[in-house]
Amino acid sequence: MDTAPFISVRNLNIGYGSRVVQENLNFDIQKNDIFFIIGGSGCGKTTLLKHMIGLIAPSKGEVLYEGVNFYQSDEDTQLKLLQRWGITYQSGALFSSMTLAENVALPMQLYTDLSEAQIAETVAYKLALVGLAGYEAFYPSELSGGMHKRAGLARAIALDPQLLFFDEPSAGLDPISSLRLDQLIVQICKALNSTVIIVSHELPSILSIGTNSVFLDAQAKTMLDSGDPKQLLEHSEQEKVRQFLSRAGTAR
Amino acid sequence: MLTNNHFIHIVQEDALLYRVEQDADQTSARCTLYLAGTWRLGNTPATTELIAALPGQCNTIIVNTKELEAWDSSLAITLLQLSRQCEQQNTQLDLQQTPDGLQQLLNLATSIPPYQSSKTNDTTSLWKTLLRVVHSVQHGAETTFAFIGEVTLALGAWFRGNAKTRRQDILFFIEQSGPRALAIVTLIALLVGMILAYLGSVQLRQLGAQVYVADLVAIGMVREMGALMTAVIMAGRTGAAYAAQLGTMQVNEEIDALKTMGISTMEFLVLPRLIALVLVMPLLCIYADVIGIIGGAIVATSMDVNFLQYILQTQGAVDWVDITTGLIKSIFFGILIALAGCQAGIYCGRNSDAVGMAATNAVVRAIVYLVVADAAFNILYDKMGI
Repeated sequence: MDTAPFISVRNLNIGYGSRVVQENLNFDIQKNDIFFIIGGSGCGKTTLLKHMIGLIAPSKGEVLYEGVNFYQSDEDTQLKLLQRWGITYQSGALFSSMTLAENVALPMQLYTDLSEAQIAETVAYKLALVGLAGYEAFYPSELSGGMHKRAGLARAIALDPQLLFFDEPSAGLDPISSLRLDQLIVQICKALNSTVIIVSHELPSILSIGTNSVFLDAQAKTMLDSGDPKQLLEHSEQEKVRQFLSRAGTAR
Repeated sequence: MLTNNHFIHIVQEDALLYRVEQDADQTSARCTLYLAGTWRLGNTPATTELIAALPGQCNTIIVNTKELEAWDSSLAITLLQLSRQCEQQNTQLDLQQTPDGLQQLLNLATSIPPYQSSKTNDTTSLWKTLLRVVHSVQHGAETTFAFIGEVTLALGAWFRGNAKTRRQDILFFIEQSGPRALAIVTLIALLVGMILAYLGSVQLRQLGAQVYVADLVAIGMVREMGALMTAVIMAGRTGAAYAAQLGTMQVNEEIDALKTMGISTMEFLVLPRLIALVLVMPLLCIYADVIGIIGGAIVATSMDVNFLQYILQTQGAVDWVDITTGLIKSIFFGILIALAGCQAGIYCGRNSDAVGMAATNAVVRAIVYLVVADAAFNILYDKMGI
């Protein structure tokens, strides 16, 4: 594997305005990692994600994408980076005034010169991938919460992104759909040769597909550990991390 | 019919993306689809073209990707369509010789069969459209009356002292719709007063009766423009805000949460807004009257009317009956604006589009209500001789 990290986070402080949620975060993400941001509720997982996807500029520290700092780049570079990312939000964040097909087609219409027919084919394929074939003409308000999530994923992978971000992908999904989503993430990661960053506290997902992770803690206000979650479960020096990953020591 | 063993199809001049070879053995009816080169989105053959290139009598198609260099979603898209086509024609598609990743992606894409939409396209005959319009107008009128009824009941409960209306909500909305609207009301009322004065002075100068500009402005502001212009401002400002607030609450399921807590949305959400507007509107109306008269004075004094003269003339022109007629109007206008805004918000749909539509609805409806009500009041006052 290439030794230069795909993404590196350096001395990062995250928070909103003057309120610091987590400080002094340092970790690397390698290409093709399935990277989990782990931690209890309210420890700042989503906030960290928002700093990584260009929504909130950090007050201190930096996030480098193959050496490029998003927040200090000019608009063109930022746009190029954004086009290579696919992001799914907690509740799908579908545009409610557009059908599913229009939602998924939007990034392709704006950023590629594919013909309408090619876009329609691609949309059908992406929706089939997430198990929503045949739902092209539906509006988001006609679908369930789990379907919103999957449709959001279809939109995120519309441009075959190199970097995929998920905010709580399996929260609110039944175990089967959740497993399917995990498989889908692994497949897409392999097929598109992309790197995946997932905010989650779903232990089965973390332990089955995660290859790298960072563990945030609300009390310490910083990261406790990072690395392969399976390794952390057995060998983390932090009691709290082992407790979390083994569901406080109970048999899973 | 193929007499040749090899059937080669060239897609692009620079690169061969696929070719089809039919087995020499005619009885087995198998053919192999060789995929080659680099498959990138936007740079691939149309699927229909590829399907047309396949011999029709095949019952097994073997896909071979030995010569494939790189691929992205475009390959999966093509193969997904091919597999759907094969399914329809009972042809077997053999993907054993393709990359694992591709096979798994296709498995994912085909594991859940396409949803058969039960949506039927409505036939849009003129008659049906007309019927639908009539129905929606009827439905709209019904909901409006139902809404007014519910608000009246809630108001009754409030007067009896057992409504779940919080006093701090009423105060909050008074603050929002009163003091915070002063700046815009000042500007508009001042300008309306000046416009009235200009309009009057041009006509009255011909008769040498410029001093009666004061009467015109005073009566015009107090009886009509003060109440109406304030109401129009509040419809755009507060009515739209009410619709957007309640509409967003509907989208966020906050209104559902209130209902399941057993809290009446009428008492908890609509009443504070309605009461606040009814209390604030007359005050804003009086304020607008005064500012309008000042506006008139500014214009009149610049056109050879003495300021003192103007004030005295105004005092003589307006009596308490005039002021009361304006105030009564403004109270009713307040009720109408709150009703239009809250109704649009409460019955808002559940997406971002619907919130915008609710706000538009609130303003349009409020202005229609205002103008109709104003005309009705003027006819009424005329019949009463006041």
